[in-house]
Amino acid sequence: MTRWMLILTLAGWLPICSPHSLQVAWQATGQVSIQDGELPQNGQQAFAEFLDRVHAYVNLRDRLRDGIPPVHHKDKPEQIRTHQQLLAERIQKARKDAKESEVFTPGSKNAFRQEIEKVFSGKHARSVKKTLVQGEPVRLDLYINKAYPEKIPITTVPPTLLQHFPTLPKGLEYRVVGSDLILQDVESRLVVDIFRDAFPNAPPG
Amino acid sequence: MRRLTKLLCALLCLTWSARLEAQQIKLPLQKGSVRFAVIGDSGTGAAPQYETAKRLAQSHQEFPFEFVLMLGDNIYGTKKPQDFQRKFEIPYQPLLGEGVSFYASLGNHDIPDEEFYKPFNMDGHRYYSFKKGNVRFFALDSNYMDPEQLKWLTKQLQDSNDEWKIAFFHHPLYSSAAAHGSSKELRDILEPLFQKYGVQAVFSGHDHVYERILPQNGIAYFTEGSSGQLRRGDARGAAFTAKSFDEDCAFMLVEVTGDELFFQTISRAGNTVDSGNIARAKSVQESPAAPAGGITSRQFLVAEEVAEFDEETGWCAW
Repeated sequence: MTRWMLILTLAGWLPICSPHSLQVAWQATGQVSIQDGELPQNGQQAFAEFLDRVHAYVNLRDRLRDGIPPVHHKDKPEQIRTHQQLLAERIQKARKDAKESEVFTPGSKNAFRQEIEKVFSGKHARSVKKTLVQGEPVRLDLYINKAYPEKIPITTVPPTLLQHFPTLPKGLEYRVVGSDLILQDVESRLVVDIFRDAFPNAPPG
Repeated sequence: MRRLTKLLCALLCLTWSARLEAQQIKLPLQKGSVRFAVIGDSGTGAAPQYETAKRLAQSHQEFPFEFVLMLGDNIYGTKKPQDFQRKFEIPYQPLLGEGVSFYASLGNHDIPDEEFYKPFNMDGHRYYSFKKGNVRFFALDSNYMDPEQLKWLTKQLQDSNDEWKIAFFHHPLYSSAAAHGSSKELRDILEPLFQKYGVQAVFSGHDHVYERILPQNGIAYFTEGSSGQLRRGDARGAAFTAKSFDEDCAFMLVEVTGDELFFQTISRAGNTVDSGNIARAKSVQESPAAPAGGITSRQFLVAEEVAEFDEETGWCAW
């Protein structure tokens, strides 16, 4: 049973829900900076649960990276691409049954939406919306465990939103694609999870 | 027939002298100065990039700069190994061959993997800083200005006691261009930091035009996003515009010597489209004339040897 729980956890299927693990996750990633009022207790728990699942993914990725030639800042494009492709293949295989909302849990979606609404109705609302428009908004059909197309530009993630969202571990980033909030692994370029319609009034792509 | 030949010769002479004038380097070329070029939105792999790169290499003969700042969108489209050749290594081969270094920042068309590409000198970081002479450069990732990056930037600025602090990143804090325009949200976050810690100049791309902004809160802003592609007629001009150019691709040459930063913007055709200088503000200790309270409110002081200073705009220009 313990072994199965470990496997499921590493595969991102099962969050580690003990109070101790929650504390570790928060310590590892830092607190969410809430500027316009505290996030309710249930929102903090939801973000903690989200970060647990994020860390489960990171653990899986770290384990799968073993044996792949490490990428180095003096590498040639061929070596960098090989690293990315090998890692992506392994993750895709390990997460072949992954489904949407396994990282963006329903509870965390509510918390994210609360923060988005707070920002979009706050004093920076206008400039935040403008950031999304200026960043060459894109509309794409994205799927989890598939790569974000390298030919397609990325939309700037409004810095104010990033101040309200949980801080992600190195190598993972939020992306805004149309009305969706994406969690992307920038090392493998894979889409880890998608929160569809996180931005109900997103600018046209 | 003879008259026609004479006329043609006269025209040729005029054109040639105009070209000589156009390509003339207006920078002081002081011994020991920090010399660099600035390119933005360059990596298309198309003819305009190659032609602009060729002009940049020609300028290097007259103005031997040590390195080039890249303002993002370094590699458009696909990022296969051959794309790094076609969109970077081949067009800039004459400069790379002469030992010129490139320091890249990431644009919205780039991928984070570029931080590992050796010729971009990012050392595996999407944001980083480096020092040349009396200048500290801060390369930022404006695609993703998360709290961690802001914390890093604040610490770096706090710790820097360099005479000059120059930031470069993709999205312009001020731009009158129709396609994108000013990144207001980013400005609200970055400008107070720049102001507090004495950043004197900021270079950005994204809009495919050249634009120099009137000093804002003591900071000089330049947009140079036309080194690979051009949005002709896109620079609308705004109250904050000092000079804009959207008729040809362009790049910038910059020289920092002592308390002065000189710049010259050159088009693909070889015409100088803008030039001038800014002077570093001095603290109370350095300048008895400065008002109490540390750094002067206007960081641009008139360089005595420069002929014209525009009181309204705060810029020196030739």
